[in-house]
Amino acid sequence: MIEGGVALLDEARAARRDREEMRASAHGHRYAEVDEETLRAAVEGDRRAFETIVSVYEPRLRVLAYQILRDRFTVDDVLQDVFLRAYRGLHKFRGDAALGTWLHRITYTSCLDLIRKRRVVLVPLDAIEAAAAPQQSDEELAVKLRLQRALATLDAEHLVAVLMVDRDGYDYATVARVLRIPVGTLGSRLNAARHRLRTELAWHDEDAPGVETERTEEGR
Amino acid sequence: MSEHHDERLGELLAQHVQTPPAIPEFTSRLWERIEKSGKVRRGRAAPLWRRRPLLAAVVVAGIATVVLAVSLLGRTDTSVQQPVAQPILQLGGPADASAAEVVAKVRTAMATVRALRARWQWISASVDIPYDELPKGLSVDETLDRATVGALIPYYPSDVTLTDDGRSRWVTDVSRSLSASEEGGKVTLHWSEGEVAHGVPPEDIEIQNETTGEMSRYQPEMRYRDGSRTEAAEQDTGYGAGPPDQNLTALLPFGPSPSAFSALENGQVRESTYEGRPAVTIIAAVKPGPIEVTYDAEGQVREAGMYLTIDKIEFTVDAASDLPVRLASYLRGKLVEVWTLSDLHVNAEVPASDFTFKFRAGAPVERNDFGFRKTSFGGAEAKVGYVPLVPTHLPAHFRLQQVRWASRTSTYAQLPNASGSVGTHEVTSRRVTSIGYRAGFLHLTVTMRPAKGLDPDWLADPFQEDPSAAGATVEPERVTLTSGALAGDEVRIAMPPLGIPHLWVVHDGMLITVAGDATRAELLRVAGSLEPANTAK
Repeated sequence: MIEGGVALLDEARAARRDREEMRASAHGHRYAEVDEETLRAAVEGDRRAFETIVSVYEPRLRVLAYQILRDRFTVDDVLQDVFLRAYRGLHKFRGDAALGTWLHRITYTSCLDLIRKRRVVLVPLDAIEAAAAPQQSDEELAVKLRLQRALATLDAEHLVAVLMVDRDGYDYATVARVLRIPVGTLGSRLNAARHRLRTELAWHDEDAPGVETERTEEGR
Repeated sequence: MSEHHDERLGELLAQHVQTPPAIPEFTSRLWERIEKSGKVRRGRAAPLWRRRPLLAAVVVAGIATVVLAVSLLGRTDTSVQQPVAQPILQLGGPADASAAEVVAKVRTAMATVRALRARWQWISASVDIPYDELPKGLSVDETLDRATVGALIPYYPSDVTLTDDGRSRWVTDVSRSLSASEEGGKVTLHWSEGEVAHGVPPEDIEIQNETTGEMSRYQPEMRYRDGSRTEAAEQDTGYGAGPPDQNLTALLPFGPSPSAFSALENGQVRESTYEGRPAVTIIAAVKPGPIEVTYDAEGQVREAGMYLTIDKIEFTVDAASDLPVRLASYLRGKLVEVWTLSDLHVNAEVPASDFTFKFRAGAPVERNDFGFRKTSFGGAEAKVGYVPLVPTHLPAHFRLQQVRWASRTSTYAQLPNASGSVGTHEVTSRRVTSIGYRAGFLHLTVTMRPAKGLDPDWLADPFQEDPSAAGATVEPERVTLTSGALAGDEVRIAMPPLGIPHLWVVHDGMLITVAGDATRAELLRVAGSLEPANTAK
């Protein structure tokens, strides 16, 4: 196996390990929330505590923002606004409200606002191709490009659904709150997004375990 | 529903979804901005007013319509083709009727109409206010003088059919990209065949949405040029009779008109034409604001926002039917939002074949149940364990449409703010009664649910959808009722100019709401006429 392939395999194993840890975590998703003490300290003005919050959430919010906006030069601005708003609004949080859910919500709405204002979603294919690591095998590269193309065809709501649930392991209720849609609708969005991705990847839906859909007889 | 995480896909996404790194000075730059804007104060957060109300009806139109519009904005608009709609307003001389008389006619028309077919369109622009750059103490007018209005964003037009028994059908064709331009007060829509700048563009998309009172069915279909398709149908049942548990679909084509009536009653009337048909237009000034800016000890803006960032509305009424066909909102002469109905067919026969929605064979169908069931007043009492209060007075033309109850509402159909908290905290409502009244396309809903332990002073507006991100209401007025079962109680009543008029009160441990297409006086009169269902006549 070529060197790049080994690296990719290691990456995949690490991702799997993370996901297994996520399943075991009390929070039910891949990433930890900041603890209450850190949150309280941040509310009271502890700079280091707020930087902990930024370091915990920034990477996953960056993934989300970049996948929605597809513009690396805008993502930093959006995330700066998100954390600025978070800093101003921290005092609103009580122990029973998940900071992560709120930050995802702000990120999501900020991205949509930006898209609506600019009326353009930039997804240059050359950028996708340029992002491919040079050491990747042709097959891996092809999979990656197909995946990126398929992601680029999803709207923001479907994107957030599939990234937060399948990539990051968040539970349905959390993601539904982020998107402000019923849990059932989230399931529907997920099914559609997964179907689109599987189609692009030339997977077959029947291979996917646990797809919760009914086949209706209506209209036959 | 049980949760499914697609492990295989998740691993692939974790492996291949790459993100550019943060700029090296991300954190230091963030601190610069934080220090510039000031520090957080402790204590209860002030209400977060937003620049414009949520248009709940738009949500009902199908979130997918909006999201699809957003997703398709990537199409290039280099090949603008034929305009498909040109709402033209030609102002003429003064009309004979006063604005109040025109509004009264419109209300009667909407309360007595039986069926409608039309094409619905909504276009909006954002209003940006640079709060961080403004000096302290500016008035609302001075603040709005510094606001900028963004580009017009069109949403896909839908062909709608409505009937007065609660059935509605929407069909949206979003197979082409859409843009809008405005010149001289005239808005023009453009279809474009431009290529999507990425991947495989959808080439044929149709969204169908049908509501029959008992259920709503929704089916988008996207066909791609590579032959693949995306389809995810949805069927919702168990609706409440109306807000705050459920938004209503039937009013959607009329946008926020009913709640704009009170502002319009003092407007100026002009004869006009619309799509070549005689029309009447009311032009009314709207009081923008309130504005809320809080500062920190250093005088920097800590939180800012404004509820209503428009100063004028134009309301156009079709002279033949007295039904509204256009509502436009302006700020400093620039168009902020407009919805229109075109190709109007009023009280035309609606054949049963118009409501024969069928899911496509083999389509995966997601089924949601919001938890409400139909019952009678007596049946509701037996199920919820209390006697519902019902109005003994209703506005003209209204009649009882349905009584519904829920032992527990679903995650979605609930009072987001029932705890009075902010952020994402949510409380599921239990033992709810939701009683719906209807007059043509107008609605009125009375709901009750236990609210023990809730301090009314801390109870946030139950109709405010998202306290952390999108304040949708106005500061409520407190009014003490003098009649009925609630005599002596102080209700909170809110008349958001472009939202749902509503009031709420906690009485004997029960949260009671009255909301709908009514004036302030009508809402208060309905609330003051509430009596236990077993004694009401």
